[in-house]
Amino acid sequence: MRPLLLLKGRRFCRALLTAFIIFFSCYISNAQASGRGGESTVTFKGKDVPLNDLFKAIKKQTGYTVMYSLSVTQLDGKEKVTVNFNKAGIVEVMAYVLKGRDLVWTIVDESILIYKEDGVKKNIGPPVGVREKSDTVINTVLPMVMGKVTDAEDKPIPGATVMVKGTRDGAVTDNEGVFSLANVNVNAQLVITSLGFKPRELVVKGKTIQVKMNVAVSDLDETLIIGYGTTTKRLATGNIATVTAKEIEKQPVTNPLQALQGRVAGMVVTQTSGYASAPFTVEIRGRNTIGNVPSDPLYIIDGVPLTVLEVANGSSSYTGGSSGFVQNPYMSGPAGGQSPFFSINPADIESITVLKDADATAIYGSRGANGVILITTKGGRNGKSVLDMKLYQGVSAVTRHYNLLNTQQYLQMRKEAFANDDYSPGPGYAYDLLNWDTTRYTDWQKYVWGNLGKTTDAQLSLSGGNKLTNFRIGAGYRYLTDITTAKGASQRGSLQFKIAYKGFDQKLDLSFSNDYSVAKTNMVDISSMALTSPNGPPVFDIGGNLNFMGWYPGEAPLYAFSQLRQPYESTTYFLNSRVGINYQIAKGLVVSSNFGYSNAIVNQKSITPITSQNPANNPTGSSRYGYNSTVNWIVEPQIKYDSYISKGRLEALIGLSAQNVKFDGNYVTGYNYVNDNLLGSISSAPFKDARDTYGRYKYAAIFGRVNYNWENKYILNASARRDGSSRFGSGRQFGNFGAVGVAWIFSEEHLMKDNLSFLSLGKIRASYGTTGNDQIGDYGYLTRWVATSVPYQGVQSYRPTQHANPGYQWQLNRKLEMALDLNFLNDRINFEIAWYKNRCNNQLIFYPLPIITGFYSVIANSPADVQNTGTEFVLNARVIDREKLDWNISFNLGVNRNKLIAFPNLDQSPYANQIFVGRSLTLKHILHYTGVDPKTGEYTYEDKNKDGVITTNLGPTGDLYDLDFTTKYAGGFGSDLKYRNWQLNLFFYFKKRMGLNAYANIQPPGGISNAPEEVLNRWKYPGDKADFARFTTNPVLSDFFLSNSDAAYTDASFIRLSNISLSYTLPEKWTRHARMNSCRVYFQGQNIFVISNYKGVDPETQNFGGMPPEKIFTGGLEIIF
Amino acid sequence: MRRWIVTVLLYFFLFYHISCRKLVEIPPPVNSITTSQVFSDSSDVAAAVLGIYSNIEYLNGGSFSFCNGAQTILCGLSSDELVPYNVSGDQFYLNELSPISGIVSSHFWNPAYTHIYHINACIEGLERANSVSSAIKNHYLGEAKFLRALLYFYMINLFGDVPYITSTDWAKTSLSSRTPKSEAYQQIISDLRDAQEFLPSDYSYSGGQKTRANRWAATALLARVYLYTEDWTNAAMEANSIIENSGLFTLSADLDNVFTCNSEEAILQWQMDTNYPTYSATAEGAEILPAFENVPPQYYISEQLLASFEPKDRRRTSWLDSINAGGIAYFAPYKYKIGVREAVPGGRATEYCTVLRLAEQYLIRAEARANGAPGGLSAAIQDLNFIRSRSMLADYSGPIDKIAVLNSIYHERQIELFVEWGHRWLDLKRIGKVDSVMNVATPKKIGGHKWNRYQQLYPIPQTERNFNPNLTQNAGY
Repeated sequence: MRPLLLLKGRRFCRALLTAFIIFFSCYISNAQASGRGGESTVTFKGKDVPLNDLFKAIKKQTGYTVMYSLSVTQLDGKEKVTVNFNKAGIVEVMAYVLKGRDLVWTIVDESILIYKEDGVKKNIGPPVGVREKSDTVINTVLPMVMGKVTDAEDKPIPGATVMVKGTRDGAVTDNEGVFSLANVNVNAQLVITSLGFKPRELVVKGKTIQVKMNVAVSDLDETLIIGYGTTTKRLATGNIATVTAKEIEKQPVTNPLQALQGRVAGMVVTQTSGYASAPFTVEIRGRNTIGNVPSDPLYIIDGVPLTVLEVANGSSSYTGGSSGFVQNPYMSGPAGGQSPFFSINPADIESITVLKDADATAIYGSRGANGVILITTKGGRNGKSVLDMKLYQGVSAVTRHYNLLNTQQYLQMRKEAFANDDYSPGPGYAYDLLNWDTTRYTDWQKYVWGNLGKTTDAQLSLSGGNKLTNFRIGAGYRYLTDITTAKGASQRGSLQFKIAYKGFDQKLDLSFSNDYSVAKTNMVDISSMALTSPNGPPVFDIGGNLNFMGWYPGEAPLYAFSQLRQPYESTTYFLNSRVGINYQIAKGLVVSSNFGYSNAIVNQKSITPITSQNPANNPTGSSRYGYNSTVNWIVEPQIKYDSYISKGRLEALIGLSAQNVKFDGNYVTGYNYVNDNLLGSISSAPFKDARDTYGRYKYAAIFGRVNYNWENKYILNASARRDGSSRFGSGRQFGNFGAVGVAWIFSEEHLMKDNLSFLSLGKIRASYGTTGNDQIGDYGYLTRWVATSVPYQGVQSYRPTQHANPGYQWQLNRKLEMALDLNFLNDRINFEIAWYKNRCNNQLIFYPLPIITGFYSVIANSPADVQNTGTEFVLNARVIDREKLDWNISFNLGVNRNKLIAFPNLDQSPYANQIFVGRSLTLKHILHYTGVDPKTGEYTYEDKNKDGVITTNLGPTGDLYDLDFTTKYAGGFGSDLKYRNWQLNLFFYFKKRMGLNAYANIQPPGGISNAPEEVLNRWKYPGDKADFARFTTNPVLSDFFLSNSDAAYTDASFIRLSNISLSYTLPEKWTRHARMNSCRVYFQGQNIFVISNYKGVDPETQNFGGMPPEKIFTGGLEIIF
Repeated sequence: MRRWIVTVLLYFFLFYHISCRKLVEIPPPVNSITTSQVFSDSSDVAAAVLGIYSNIEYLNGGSFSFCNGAQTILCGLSSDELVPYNVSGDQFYLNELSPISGIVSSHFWNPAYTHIYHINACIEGLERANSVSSAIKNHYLGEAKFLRALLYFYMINLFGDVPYITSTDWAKTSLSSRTPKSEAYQQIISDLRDAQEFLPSDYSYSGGQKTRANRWAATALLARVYLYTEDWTNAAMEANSIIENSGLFTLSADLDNVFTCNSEEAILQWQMDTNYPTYSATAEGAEILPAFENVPPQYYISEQLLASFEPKDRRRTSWLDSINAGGIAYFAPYKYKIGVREAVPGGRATEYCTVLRLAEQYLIRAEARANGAPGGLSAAIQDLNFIRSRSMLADYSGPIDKIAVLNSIYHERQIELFVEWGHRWLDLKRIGKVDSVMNVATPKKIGGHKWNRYQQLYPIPQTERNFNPNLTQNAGY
């Protein structure tokens, strides 16, 4: 199978490359650059060339920038002209250009100013001393200041704010980057700010100003993507954390969620198993609900919500996460589902923004309860086209092994167990002693996950653009094999495309982005075999067939390597597409709309060939095919208004959102194949059993936001949303949500500026608001019947599927946050502390029920009121900031306390004795272990209620204690060191919490199953003091209780070096020869080591026998042309 | 400008308000139907009620579960009948069930209440169904009530007092406490009386197949319920009406034919759908019959049971299968002949899971008569001999006193009904012999410990108690 997949991958790459070459060559032929500068005459020849080209030539040859306001002059830079100037003077050229237009021009300072005479007369008064026919520069008084704001590469910056300091006067640059201000004092100071650029202050002095803005070096002014808009760290009123491409690219991960581990304070990201496609759980600021539902935030990719309908009953849970794109109740695969982010190429991501508090999330209203994660894919940049090629390869292996008994110790254990039990080994229960070769030894951990996984990742992207259009096209391919010795591989090919276009007098912005990926997995699940007896016979017989007879003649169920021949495969096609249109209908007023569409299709296949089953059973083959399809579209028309009112800038937004999601799934099982060769064809199955699942979700909202920024000092942000969701019964579909955020940048106050100049930013912000949650199944309000799996008497019969509850309503989360942001020493040190208090009540959950009601749960509002309070710290510092040496460090920490505030009538609820008012939700109810009884060798526990027996009943009739399992704190710290061409990044991730012991969920030692080495310290004879009970083949209750006691839990805290990256950029003089822009070689590693007292495979995957997370080392090369 | 904004805003709000309801309305699900649709016409009603049978058989994907093999196998292990080949950790076999292990809930408690909800939903739906004729309504009510009685009969005999749920309203039932056994029996009797009244006395409605409950199924179960509640007269009367009046059932002369499809002895059987893969074998047969030659069977009968067969008993040769493995002879139950090995994929079923059969009715009548029902001891012995003669055994020759005759009947029940629906386990408890028998049997089990009185009732699953604070545990657990 593998060569075939490779072949397909190769073919895919070749097709991509062809597409690239075609695109690239087209692009190059259009891009031309020529000209020289320094003369005051103009030489320019061209037929039907855009006016802008002429102006460009003027700038180049004379140094004069041609400046005009688009809205006033109606001069279109794209207008085609045919000219032939040979060493012509400026006057001649300008006269030609403005011929027949109602426009005049003048030279002021270094600029040629074009304007409308009337307009100046009417509004500003006539210009003084302008000589139209002179090439002499005259410094006169103009009652108007005109200016152009550009970036370092002379590209205009539209939308920049220009304020006259100390006044209420201000302007915003147009699409050409031009602004004009009337009645400005010559000595007035202007403050120019624009998102993503360093603010500038300068004195007017002349009549025209050219302002070059530098890209913000400080994170403070970098653009941050927020819900339906952008902001900066400086001006934000809510809690927004961003992980950028730079940080993601350093990590050789398959799933972009993994790159977020430890990077954002207050966000805990956990991989549920070591399979590349496995689901992840993401929890922001603690557990909100007592329901056993995934804690996932709302994910939005380029404006399109990644909505997964949870239709596979029960396959998603709080700890297991969402089963994602695989919504198949009968077949979730060895990984227990499939993370949607497995389909997303981390290399295509520009930034991931995490919105945490009410101010940032309330604009998403009903779905922001668990936070919001916005993913923005990469786009093109103006300027020279860039071809970026990247390739890395690596190996992966299990992070740790666990010491288990060897054959000798194992056999000793078994014999001792029988002796303790006082009966002799017999056929049927002692085949390991009687039938198997007792001299064999196999390290089954090595067998199961001892392989070296291999990863290959190739990325190719081309990006570029000019004033009107920019684009990026990126292709990626990743292939990785699992660390299981059995086969298992994943691969993903992806294609990303983004184009942005400006048109119609720059009033129209059009953008289109498209991500498409094909991801394949091929898995075999034998991980539970790690505890197989060490003297187990060979897995395969001499003929290469599964060795059923060798293991135990006949007892097929004991032979679990059948899985080796029963592979699971899935192929996922994921498309995420968005069109965005913005049109400026009047100054400051923009109408826009997003149209988003996404489609995820997963085809699954799992076969059970005849050869994978015990031949003695006279087996037949079977195969199962699953199909899952999610189609999701969204339309979001919006109006944005931007204006100056008094001394402040007002931005307002109102929008509608309509979303429609449809899930269709079906699963066909074919039985009784008599020939394995036919297994690939469902139509060849003598018997077929087909099932289907279905989900439909509709969602509509109206939302608005008002932001008022008073001199970058006082900022008020208010948002509101009214939502409707099809998940509620009639009359309960709508809910209202809203939030208010305020910020005070006190460092802008004079008192601070004058006295505390080392403080470059000081901001206090606070927010309060409500969000909701409708993360429940669809159609929960209906009683429904479905077909039974098998007809009775030939009649297709029905069975009921769920309890109905027409009365449930929206869940309400209230979030309060207060935060302090401080930047010191010119932003070299950035410190943030945030405190929050979130309350969640009326929780919409699968309310657990005893099965005597007919079902295990019903969708209902739980009366529980849950509170999460916490503090988050973030510290970033540029410790060394030299030209050749640069060292940045970062640190984040999130501390969360979870508490049940109230639960009316808790005693008479399904949660009685399980949760308690005033305590955390993540409680375990366990016995208190009191050691091994020296007399009997059995485990003993504290008889809490002193009734003479140990029982595990909840409440006063049992002996259980409650142990808090909340993660106490988690965070990360990183170091980025740059020296000349070398760059070294390290990132550590840590967590403080309790976890399951490795030997908690294994069979009591003595049975046919291997055990950890520690058990050798067991009880042997009366009077013996030991840590482990006597070996036994017949465990009694006290043995089983161990996993239900505090002996089974241990400190599972750890510090993990989760990422290391070392790169070397080749010196420019070398790369220049090869016509490269840059060339970089790098080494990266993920999950390098864990510092932990935890015994077992990994403190994060505590379930021994589950596929553990792997460490990966890679080396790669990046070339940019 | 202002006007612009106001107009656009107005337009936004209007658009939202006019269309919002439409924007969040979804069509009804295509792969399911609502309760009101189900009970609006007779074919859907039939599908809903037949769904109960289908679920009993296939809830567990066709492998053995509650009322479809679980009683036979697991109660057989609990009592002194069966030995599992792989003994380690078999909690049923060792009589060491734990409330925290999922095995009790997954095999008994959960499927039972899943079916009971289904039945209650049918009964509620039928009682409200106005567009269905009362004849049809009553017929299906009868079937549903019979099935409810059958399920509760086993639940109270396995767990003692259990919540007797008759409603689908989770708000009402979620906090139910345990209903006293005697009250539950009253309900069972009342359900069975209704079923007797509503159901026809032949098999015409099920195409001649004995695969749906009719009046005789209700009567047979009622006879058993009276026997269990020691209402001897009624027990004898109900059993008598089947034996004498139905004219539909006779004991199969050939012991190999007792469990075949629609055998003359069967009163109620679960039908296999042979179109469903691999189930030309009954769930019970597939689990219990030896799968391999020369390999010890997964379950074999205990030495006590083997020794209890009288010499020359035909049942010993017909209903037991001897397997030789490693020089040891293992005897596996062989009442059903079709197991995994014998099943032909897609082949015609030759056996159905037999729920109720005539032989038990003779033994019920015998026991009731011995206990004082009309006819007395001599009639009881007659019934006993009727069963014995089929197996080529000599007539009862012991003393004609109540205790001796009763003991002989108990013994006959042990043999006739061995490894069948947990009769032995239930009988031991019913006749008060469970302690004396198990005190001997349990320590003899491989790895067995001491027998404790409380072990005769299975524990209420802990998970269930976690969600229902009013559900008490059986003493001892």
